[in-house]
Amino acid sequence: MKNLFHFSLVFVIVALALGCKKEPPLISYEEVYVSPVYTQFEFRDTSRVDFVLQEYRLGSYLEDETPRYSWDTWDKVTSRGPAILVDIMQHGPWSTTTLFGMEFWAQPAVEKPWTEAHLREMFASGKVFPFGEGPGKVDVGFQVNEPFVFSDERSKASYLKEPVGQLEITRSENYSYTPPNRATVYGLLLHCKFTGELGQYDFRYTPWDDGFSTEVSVEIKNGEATFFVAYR
Amino acid sequence: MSRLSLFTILLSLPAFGLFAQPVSFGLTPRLIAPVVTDAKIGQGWGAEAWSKAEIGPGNGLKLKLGYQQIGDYNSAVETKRTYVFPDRTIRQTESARIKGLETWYVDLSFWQYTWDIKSRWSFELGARYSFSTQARGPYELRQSLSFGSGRFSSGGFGEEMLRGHDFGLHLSGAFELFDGCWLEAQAYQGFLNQWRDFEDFEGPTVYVTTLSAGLAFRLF
Repeated sequence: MKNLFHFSLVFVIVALALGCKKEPPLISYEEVYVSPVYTQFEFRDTSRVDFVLQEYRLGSYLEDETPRYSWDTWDKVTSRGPAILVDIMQHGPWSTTTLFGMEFWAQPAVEKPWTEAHLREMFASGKVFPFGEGPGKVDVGFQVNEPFVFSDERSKASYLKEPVGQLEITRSENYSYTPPNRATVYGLLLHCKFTGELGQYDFRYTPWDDGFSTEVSVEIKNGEATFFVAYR
Repeated sequence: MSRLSLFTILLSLPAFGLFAQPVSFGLTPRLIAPVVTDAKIGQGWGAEAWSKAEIGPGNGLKLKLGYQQIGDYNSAVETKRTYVFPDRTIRQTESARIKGLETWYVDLSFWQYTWDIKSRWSFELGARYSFSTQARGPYELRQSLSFGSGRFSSGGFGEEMLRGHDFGLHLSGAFELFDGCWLEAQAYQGFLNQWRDFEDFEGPTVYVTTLSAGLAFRLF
């Protein structure tokens, strides 16, 4: 009986001690997660003597005044086969502009493009994509100057009569993310490097026509990128 | 197990002859003083139905089913999360503040007369499992997606913020005022934080500590 009373006394003291614990009236927690996606390279067009460093980093606008970028991935089917595009878009208050992009062309014989198996095979580490349009190639586009008329005024590798350059996949890894209250998105995080030349955009010659080509180039060097492609 | 089932079991224990010794049944309304945030004393009330059986001379077991509401807590958490995914940016703010708790519980106690079998004083030591715990207080979730769209919700706490159950011990002392009526005083300590465990950070804590007094009436 005596032990029980001792236990009881200790119990009441512990209970009150726990209840008396001080705590701030509000506990705040802040978290920022940014997917590790970026592109950087050096470029020089005919108006410049030296190369200029250009970089786009996802989420950079959170820390400074950098414009807000997003990486949009979409696919298309053409007479020359399917292609998947990774475009960096700049979002302003009134409009969205395409700043940079990589258009990867798959082999036309692929039955189910952009599945996990296909993407793993297509973007295997060490894979090289020559610049240009068509199966097995990548068409790199970059908006050198502020857009004059349209939201997409990029110079592109395919505008050159003889495209120059290549993109190499240096590493390929699994990556997934789960937006709140939504399903997890699975895919590949791809690391690459690239060097080459782009045909300079010129609105006077309607570059959207298939036959458009130019000999004026924009040089690209030391290019590197990490981008995400979701399984479909 | 539903509350109705528990109540039925409690009532039917004597009928099954589970206890060979005399079994009584009663009700206890209570006034509760929870020790709330920053050691202040809050307010609350509760009521329980009980069944009491003797297992030896001057001691026995007591099974209770109860409900209680306790208030005047002030414990809050706010999380701000920004996700920048390749295809979208999501900003989410979630805030919740516990002002009060209401819960059901089942309780098994050992009781004993303090001095001798004829004493009017007795004490109890018991274990309690609380369930279906709900919190009172504001809750808000704001979510804005890329390019202006967003959603807002407010209302009751979900399971993602509140644990929903508790386990604890209590110690009670009782004085028999007259035949079939006891004045009881009780101290209870819960061992589980009523907030859920947050994965990324050490969140707030609310451990239920209550002092209470009630009148126990034997009905039969």
